[in-house]
Amino acid sequence: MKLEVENLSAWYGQALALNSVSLSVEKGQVVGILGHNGAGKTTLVRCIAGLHDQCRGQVRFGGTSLEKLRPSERALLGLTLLREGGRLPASLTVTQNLILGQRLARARGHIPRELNRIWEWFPILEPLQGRKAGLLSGGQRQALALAVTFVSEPSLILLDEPSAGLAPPVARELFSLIARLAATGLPTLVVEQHPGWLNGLTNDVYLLEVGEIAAHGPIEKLLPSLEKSGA
Amino acid sequence: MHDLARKPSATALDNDAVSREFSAWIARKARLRHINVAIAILILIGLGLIPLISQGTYAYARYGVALAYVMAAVGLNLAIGFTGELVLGHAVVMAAGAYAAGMLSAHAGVSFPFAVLGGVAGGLAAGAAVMLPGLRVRGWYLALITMFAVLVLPRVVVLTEHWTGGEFGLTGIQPPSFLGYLLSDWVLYEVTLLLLALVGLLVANLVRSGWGYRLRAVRDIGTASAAIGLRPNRIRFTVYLLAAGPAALAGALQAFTDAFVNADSFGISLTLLLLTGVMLGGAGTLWGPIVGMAPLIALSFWVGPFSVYNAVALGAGLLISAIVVPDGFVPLIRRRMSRRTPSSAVADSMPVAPVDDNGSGNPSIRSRRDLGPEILSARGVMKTFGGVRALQGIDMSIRQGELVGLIGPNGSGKSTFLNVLSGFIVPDAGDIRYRDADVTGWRVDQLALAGIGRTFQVPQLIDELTTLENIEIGLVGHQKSGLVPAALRLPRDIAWERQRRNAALETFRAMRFAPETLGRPVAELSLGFKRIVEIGRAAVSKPTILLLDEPAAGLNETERQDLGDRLQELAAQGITILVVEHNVPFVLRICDSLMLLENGQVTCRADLDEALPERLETYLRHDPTPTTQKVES
Amino acid sequence: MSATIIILGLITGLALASIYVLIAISFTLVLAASGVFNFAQGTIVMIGTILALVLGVQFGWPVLAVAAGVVLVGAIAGVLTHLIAVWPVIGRTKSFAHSTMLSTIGLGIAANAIAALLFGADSQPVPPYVSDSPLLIGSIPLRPTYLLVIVVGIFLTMTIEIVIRKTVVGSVFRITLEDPEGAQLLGIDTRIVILLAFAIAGGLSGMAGFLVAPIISASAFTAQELAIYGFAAMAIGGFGSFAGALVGGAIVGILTGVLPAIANPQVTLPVLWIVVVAFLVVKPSGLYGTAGLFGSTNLREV
Repeated sequence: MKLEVENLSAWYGQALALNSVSLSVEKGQVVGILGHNGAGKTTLVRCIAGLHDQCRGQVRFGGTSLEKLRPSERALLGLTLLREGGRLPASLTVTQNLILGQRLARARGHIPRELNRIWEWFPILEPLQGRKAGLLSGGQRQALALAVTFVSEPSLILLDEPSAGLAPPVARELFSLIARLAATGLPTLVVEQHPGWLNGLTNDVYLLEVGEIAAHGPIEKLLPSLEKSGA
Repeated sequence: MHDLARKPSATALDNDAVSREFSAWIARKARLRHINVAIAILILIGLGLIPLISQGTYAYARYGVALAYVMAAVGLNLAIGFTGELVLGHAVVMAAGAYAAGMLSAHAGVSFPFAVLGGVAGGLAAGAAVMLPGLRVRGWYLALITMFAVLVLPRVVVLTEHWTGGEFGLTGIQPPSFLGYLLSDWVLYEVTLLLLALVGLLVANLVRSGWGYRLRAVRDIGTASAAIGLRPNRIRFTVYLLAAGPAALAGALQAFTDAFVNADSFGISLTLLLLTGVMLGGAGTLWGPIVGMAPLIALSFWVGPFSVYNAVALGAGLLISAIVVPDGFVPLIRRRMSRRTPSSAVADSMPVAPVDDNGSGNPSIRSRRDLGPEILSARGVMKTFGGVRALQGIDMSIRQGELVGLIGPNGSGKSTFLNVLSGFIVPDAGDIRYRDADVTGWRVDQLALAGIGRTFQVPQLIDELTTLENIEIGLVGHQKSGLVPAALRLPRDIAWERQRRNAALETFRAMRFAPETLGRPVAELSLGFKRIVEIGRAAVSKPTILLLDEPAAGLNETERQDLGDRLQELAAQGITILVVEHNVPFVLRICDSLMLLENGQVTCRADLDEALPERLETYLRHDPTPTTQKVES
Repeated sequence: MSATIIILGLITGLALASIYVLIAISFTLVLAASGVFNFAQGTIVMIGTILALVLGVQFGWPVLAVAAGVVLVGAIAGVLTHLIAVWPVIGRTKSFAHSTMLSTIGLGIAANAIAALLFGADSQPVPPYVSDSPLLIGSIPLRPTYLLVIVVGIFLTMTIEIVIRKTVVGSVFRITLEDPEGAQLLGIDTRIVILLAFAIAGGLSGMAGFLVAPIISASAFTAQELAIYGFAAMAIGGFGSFAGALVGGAIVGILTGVLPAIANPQVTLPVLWIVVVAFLVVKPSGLYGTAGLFGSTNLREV
């Protein structure tokens, strides 16, 4: 399903956080969003997911306007978000979290994958089945969050800085999982601070600066602008 | 050095504008005060004249009760409204006051004035006991435990029935007399009225003084108010006594008005009546208790006190008011009346004075200040939370006058370390030295009074107060806290107020706030502005060190520029500043040196006017780095 | 003062404890799901006692039907509480906790008063649901009613604990309280979960009223005291923990059962108050309440 964002603006109280941002993500596409802290990346994905109140603009998913829909209703359309830091309910076990993902799949009329299949995709999680999510390491939590999204048979996945807080080898593994998922044709939007992670994942990157799209194109084209605003 | 003496004419104009704003604001407040006093006097005269039109013992008894309730509500408002403490046990305080006064009169023949004093003492003691849990619990827990006490009261009365008369009530209270003269019904009524006026006056004075700031700080800033040198629990306990006083007095007077005391009159219905009155009128306003209690008292008189219909009406009234007028009537009226000022004009306009053109954006104009000796240092500081080692042995030192940036990835321990430095967290190991003294384990307020100021990620301001007042608060902790001078508006208190105002004005000017924001409540202003106000509050007490927690977060480009300029100006005045920040370009622009925190340790420390070490370069080029480690247990 | 009297007091206390546990759990369920402390919870218990009388004695329904009826009405009362006192407040005020405290207090008081108007001021006894001939254990007569209350109370508590910890429904509830955003992102409508929490808490409270009716009679004035006892159980045992609710309930129950047997009954409430204050001063989070609700790491402000 195609995600279309048109002239999306967002505020925090009086302060403008996003200014008329437009982009789109289609089936089979992976789109990246780069930007520094405070550029508005998280605000952007939260607006799309419906978690931010002060948003104006058009967001359409599969042709349906999301404007009046609560986050839970957007989730029922197959729109999923992996929040920064791999946030998960801490006292639920790995299995319990996955079961909630399966529940979402069923609510959407799909037959969810069996947990056995999930272990194939995410072998790191199998020995941790009974462990509470709050006791997992950062990398394990991110993997679990991704697995929960995966098992819910999503139609679009938004990822908010998946590499944040992870050691490089761990982040590398996570990104290879993300790449595998994207290879199934799942429309993917990845938000990142570090351009290195998007290499090889996508050639379609937007540069977000102070709430506005400053540039759009392959990473090589964007790097000079990134350096200038960064260091 | 960022030149403070810019265009001289502009500065002089600004100062004039500030003085004008200040005078205008003071004049507004004075006008309001005059109006309030006039209304109060009119009401007092009106109430005082009631005996001319309505007579009879029964009538006076009812009026006396009404006045007593209002008095208790005024006290309750101090606790609930101004300090945010949900203490619902005021019925117990009134009962204690009534019983104490009654027993002194009935059993010991103590004369009226002394019996009333005894009643006040008894009520204060009861109030302290009932509200004591408030020093440990908050919110609805406190509400419940104090309501619980109201249910306990009748049992205690029965258990002590030898003195209290048990279920049948306390009788034998002597008619009130003063200096040998018997006080008739209407004299007692007038006395009660005068005492109510006195209580109202004292409370109003208190709220307007530095104490008013202390109370609101506890309510709106809570534990973090220790960072401006306050001691929240001490303030809370004082408020419990202050709130109990009027209620105890009310109860004591009632014992003589009715010549009878019975626990039935001090039950849950009374608690609810007082609570509803305070909330309906407007918690945290001076007129609230009166505006709120008046209709309720009228209603209960009409329906008949303590009838079941009364309870239905009261309950329904509370329910509806909580939904429809959650802030109460007085704020609603105020809002209606102030519709004339177009406050929304500020929405997108810049509340901060425009930035000077020459130099702020140019990094090469960063000054080379003369740095003093080491003023703050940490050695081997460690802290573990649950299974996570947040700080794994921090060693660092800061020289006097430095502007240091503390950067690092998410979860590296920056905020935790800041909390250790300001005293909110006690480290598991290691020590902190400040000005050659070991300050490890010092309380937050001790550190604050010693000259360590800080700001918070979310600005902790008092929304209903103006910019100037929010800056003033920074000094309240440093001044003596005399209750009596404050309540009586003694010259000493007025002098303190003047001192605070002047210091705040000076800071207001120094930080170049736009003059029109001086008298505006900070609730109406932007986040960037509030951040700078909080810095102003920390700076007004001329601290030695300022610890800033992510001040640039959530600000737009212009606001960040302003913030950076102000920080450099403060540093130029000799204040040492440590900025914890995420935003690398920001710290690169304004700081003298950087510290890199990774995995709970300082891995790098560099002056920015020299070549940067490799590690820092790597971090600044956005290469991913590992962060917090978990303890394998 | 013989040992028998103390033991009888103990048994009464344990029976009452079961009731307090159910009430404590009702408070906790609602508070955990919505952040609201429902001051009107005691009212629902009181309605339970009155309904037990009306349906059982006046209408003559069989016991199980009465129980079902009471639970149903309790659930409806819970939902109504939310709709009347909580839902209108959402988004209207800066201090949600304060406002809902006041609105639920108001609702509770008004409802109590209306109940008193309709039912009258007298308390009327409710006959026990099982045979009243005491079982003899050793030389101690044990009233089957008390046994019933204890058994049902334990059963319900364990059931709820198991449901919350082990079932999918329980997971849905727990994610709503711990991570409302995450719940929404998984397609869970948190508004419905909150409504369900009110309903289930209401049903539990009604059940508590049904169980306690033969012991303390049906009366319109029991609401406040029962609510206080339930709160005391929660405060002592620790907010958000089932073990805490059980232990707290047991302590409160034993106090209220034994003290009247060995001393002046008027002493019970003051002693209980002192005990609760002592616990709160020493350990504000209660015996078992530490890292938060049902083992989670999300703490509601206490």
